Amino acid sequence: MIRRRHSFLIDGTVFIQDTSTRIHLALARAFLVRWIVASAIGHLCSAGLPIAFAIIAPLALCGAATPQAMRGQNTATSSALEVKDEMGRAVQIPQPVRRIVSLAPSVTETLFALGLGDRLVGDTDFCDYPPEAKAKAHIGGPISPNIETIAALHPDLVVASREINRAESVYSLERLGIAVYTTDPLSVEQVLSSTERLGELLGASDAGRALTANLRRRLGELDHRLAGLPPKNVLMVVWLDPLISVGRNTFMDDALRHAGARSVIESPQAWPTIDLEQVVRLQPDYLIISNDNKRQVQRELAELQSRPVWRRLDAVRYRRFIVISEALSHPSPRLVDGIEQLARALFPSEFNADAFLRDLQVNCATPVFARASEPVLQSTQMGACR
Amino acid sequence: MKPLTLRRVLWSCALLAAVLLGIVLLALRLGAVPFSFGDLGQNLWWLATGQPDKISTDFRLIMVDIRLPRILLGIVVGAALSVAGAGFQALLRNPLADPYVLGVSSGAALGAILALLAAPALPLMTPAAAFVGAAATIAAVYFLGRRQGQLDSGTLLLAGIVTASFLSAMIMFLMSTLASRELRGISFWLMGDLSASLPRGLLWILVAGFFAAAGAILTTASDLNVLLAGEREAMHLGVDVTRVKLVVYISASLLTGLAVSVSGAIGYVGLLVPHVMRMLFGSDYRLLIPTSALGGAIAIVLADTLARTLIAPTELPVGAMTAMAGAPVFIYLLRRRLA
Repeated sequence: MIRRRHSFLIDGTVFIQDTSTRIHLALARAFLVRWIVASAIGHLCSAGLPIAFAIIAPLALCGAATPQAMRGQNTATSSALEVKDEMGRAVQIPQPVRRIVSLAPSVTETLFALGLGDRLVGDTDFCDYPPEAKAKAHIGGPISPNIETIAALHPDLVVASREINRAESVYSLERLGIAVYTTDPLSVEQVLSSTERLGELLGASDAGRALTANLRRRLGELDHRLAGLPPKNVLMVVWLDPLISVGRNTFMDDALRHAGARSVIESPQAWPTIDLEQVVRLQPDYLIISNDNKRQVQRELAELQSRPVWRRLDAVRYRRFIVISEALSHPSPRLVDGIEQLARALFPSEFNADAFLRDLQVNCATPVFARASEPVLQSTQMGACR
Repeated sequence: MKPLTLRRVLWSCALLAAVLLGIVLLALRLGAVPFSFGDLGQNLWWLATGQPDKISTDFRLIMVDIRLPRILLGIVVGAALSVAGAGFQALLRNPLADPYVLGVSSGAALGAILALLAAPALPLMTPAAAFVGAAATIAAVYFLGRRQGQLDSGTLLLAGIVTASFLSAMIMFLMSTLASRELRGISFWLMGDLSASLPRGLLWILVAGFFAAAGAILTTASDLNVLLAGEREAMHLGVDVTRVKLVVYISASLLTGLAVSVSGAIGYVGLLVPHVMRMLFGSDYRLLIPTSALGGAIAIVLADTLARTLIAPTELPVGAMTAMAGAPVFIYLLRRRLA
């Protein structure tokens, strides 16, 4: 499975397989994968460390922010709720939770979707959705959050994601007496139930129930619409160089299924590195890329078409690429938007103008959440783009 | 060479200790959350004079619970790596010898990964297994490095390099075949990372281990001076060469194992600090070992402070900092030796 094209990178490539692949889903992809490749190489031939650093520094600088001034003292907690988080750790959550720090973009998105944005006092350098998230105090990246900055924000609760955070960070915070709740959704249903549970724990049960009920309804409609259609064979391109896709038992694999697609890759690993030979053999109908950076995607795809082996893929030869927003790669309520976008792109005829307008009215008429109407409008744009 | 007096040892160490104290104060002051020197002095005074109730909660949380343990960890790790480096250099009479060359760090990393696979929920398991891995590697390299019952410097070095690359390959294999979700942190840890806080007990174990092993090396210091002239010569001068080498080898490896198990692979410190100390204070091992310990502590605390503050709140792995500063210094030293 190791690519032999540039042997120098072999070690770095293997690193990617198990580290960055999981991490990068919810992150700015370019930053992380390149960094980890660089650091892996740097570690293995330590003369390369300065190179790794040279790569980290300018990129990370973009994410640097001045530390937030100290806020008010921790309020004396009158009571605490003892729960098990999704890793099975017992967590004492002080009630009520007034100050929350998020350690992952997907968590930040979930909190905003639950209407808890004003209680979020800190998030990561990579949290960019919704736009308000960018204005929050930043606590560093998800891999190396700054414990000091988090402590100075006096959070009642830190919410982490097992997908991209390190266990060490969780334990470090725990040792300082800071409550950390870890999410770990591995399917679309678990993304929803995790969201609902977070709502309950943070005193937003009604919002959580309404939100997830709406999302479940949308998924149900989609299932209904796609019922009886044969699934399309797709290759989810999580990362291009080396080629990384999704394995079984991941929320993304499940999301593909909900959108009427079937990943051609069946791997027990969560984010397997794929041999190109295997892809040529499997001949997927579509290549799917989840990325908001349009220019980067275009450049990558143009380059792909000039590569010898890739050219042999029918999907590449006939330009059957589907570029979806990053919603599809974040285990947050926004995932449903991504699923809908993908379904529309895969089965355009099932979403004709009449049906589409009807949807729009239904969604806009739902007064529960203003947010609920956004995805469809977004999809309209997607549809128009295509 | 100037004669070594106790006075000179004490003065040199006092000088370095003063520098270290300055660096520690600076490291306490600097961080993602700013404090003024006035605040720092005031609160430290309260802490020192036993009036802890006057200390603000923020100061206690950030200075006492986060920065101070991290600085202490840096001091112990830096001192351990430098003393280990000095020991290996004497042992192998090879200026390129360093804890990492001998494969000890790879052994520790493999141990840690196996622990994460076997018992991911136990936080103390990882450093413990890393230490076991380091110790096992030491034993393997030691036996591989013997030729006709004698420790041979060249063979030992080669055995170390081969073992290191074999263990790295094992790590790669494990990381690419097993789908464990706990391995993600490893690449960060491999870079050298002081950010994870340790349970108090472990820190004390580390400190005790450091003093025991560094003390053992120090007792052989005068023999190491003789050993620099050559093994045969040392043997003729009445040095029990095998015993000295065994003591230094085991102690230095223990120091490395301890350091790597808590902080990952921080490179260049064990290689460079002893060289710099030799340039500053001469190559008498009785002076070189204590000054290397202090110098290593200074180097790591400084590097970690930079790693924490350069682009705060984002942190860099401290290994990146030591390499960035260390590689140019190393090249400078190398060129100077050649000139």
